[in-house]
Amino acid sequence: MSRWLISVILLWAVVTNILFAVPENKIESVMHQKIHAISDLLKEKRTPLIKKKGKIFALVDDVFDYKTMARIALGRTWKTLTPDQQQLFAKKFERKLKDSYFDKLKFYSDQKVVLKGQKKVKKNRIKLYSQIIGKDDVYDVVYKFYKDKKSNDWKIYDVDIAKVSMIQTYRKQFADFLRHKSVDELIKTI
Amino acid sequence: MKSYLMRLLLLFALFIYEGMAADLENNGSSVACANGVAVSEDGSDNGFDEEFSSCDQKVYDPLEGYNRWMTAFNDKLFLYLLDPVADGYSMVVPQPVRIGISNVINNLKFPLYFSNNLLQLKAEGSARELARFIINSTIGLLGLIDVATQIGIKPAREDFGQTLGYWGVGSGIPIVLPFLGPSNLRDTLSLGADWAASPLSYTGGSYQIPNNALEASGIKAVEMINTTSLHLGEYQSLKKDALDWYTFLRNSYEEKRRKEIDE
Repeated sequence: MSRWLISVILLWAVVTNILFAVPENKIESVMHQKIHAISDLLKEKRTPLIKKKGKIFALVDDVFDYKTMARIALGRTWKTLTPDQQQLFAKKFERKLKDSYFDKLKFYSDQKVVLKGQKKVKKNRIKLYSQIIGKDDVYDVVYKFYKDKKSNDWKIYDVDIAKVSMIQTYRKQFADFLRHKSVDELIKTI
Repeated sequence: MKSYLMRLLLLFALFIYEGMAADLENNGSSVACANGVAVSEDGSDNGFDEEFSSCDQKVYDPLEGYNRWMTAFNDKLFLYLLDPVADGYSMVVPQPVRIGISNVINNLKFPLYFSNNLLQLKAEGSARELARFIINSTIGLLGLIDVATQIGIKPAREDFGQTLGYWGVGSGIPIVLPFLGPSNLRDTLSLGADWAASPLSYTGGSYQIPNNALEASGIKAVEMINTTSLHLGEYQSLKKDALDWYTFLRNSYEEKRRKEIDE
């Protein structure tokens, strides 16, 4: 009985550790591990990229908050959607982000990724700065974390790539689209 | 005489430009949707509505018709000329050589980067660019190898558009340039100064390598083909992220420039 209890507690500890993802002071080291695990996967050229997809997203999924990204990308329109539309939009947007990210991975060829430290810009915002040393240029990549009020969890809600905010770009595009067309058309298009 | 004329022309252009910029401000239609205007109704959104601009306000883009046409033109030019040429070139010239060419070109543009760091009174950037030039020109074999980046001295590239932005000149209306892509009024007018500061252009300066405009265009063409060859497929991949390629480029360009200037 007590052994059973201990294993339940242990399991619970493991599960919560995964669920309550990254503590504030560990953001850089956790991201360091993840980035290096991904670049190790990419450097191994014998396996085709498509076969590594599952492993790569397993590393990424628990720090990226796709649902929040979807909500920000839609801006004020989000609240006018029915719960069904919200769910459908979030699902399709997540797929779009993942497809886009995965499509970019084919350009990776042993570039060096350097983490440049994290900075708490607000009490519920942390930016993690990194640089990708490309073939002929150096690109800044900034991972932006927020602390969720309910779960106290730090998660990524946006990434600045070469100084351009990914989610802001989508937000503007969706706002432009919705000026002339409906939400349903947007859901169909993305 | 020629360079004097150029300077006069530039001054004149700037003068007109300032007038137009002032006009824009008076009309109250601003180009950038820089800061968020939307305030969240309740506190439950973790403050994202303040952080991201909603951009309900339309971008003031009087040349939109032309800009769209030129974006389509550049797109065709890229897909049917530059990209296939760069692809063929990449198969003939090995990548280390192409990276070397890119390094040499960037190293030669030192006067451009350095002077614009100075014009913005950026001591650290100026020092970095100077150190890069000295290291890469010597140990880096006349710029062929970017030793400086390898030992951690990253580039601090600044151009005249950024210098004007630094001193408070707004970006003005969006303008898409043939061959060069998205730009705005300020950055377009800054091109003359950039060319004058670059040893790879031909504006009559004694330090400039090309002997005439044709040679300068040749160098520019090599630079474009070489750069494209190091980024094959990226254009096509980026285009997939866009619902509307023109506004995607216009907005990304503005955001990138704004952040470059703010740094």
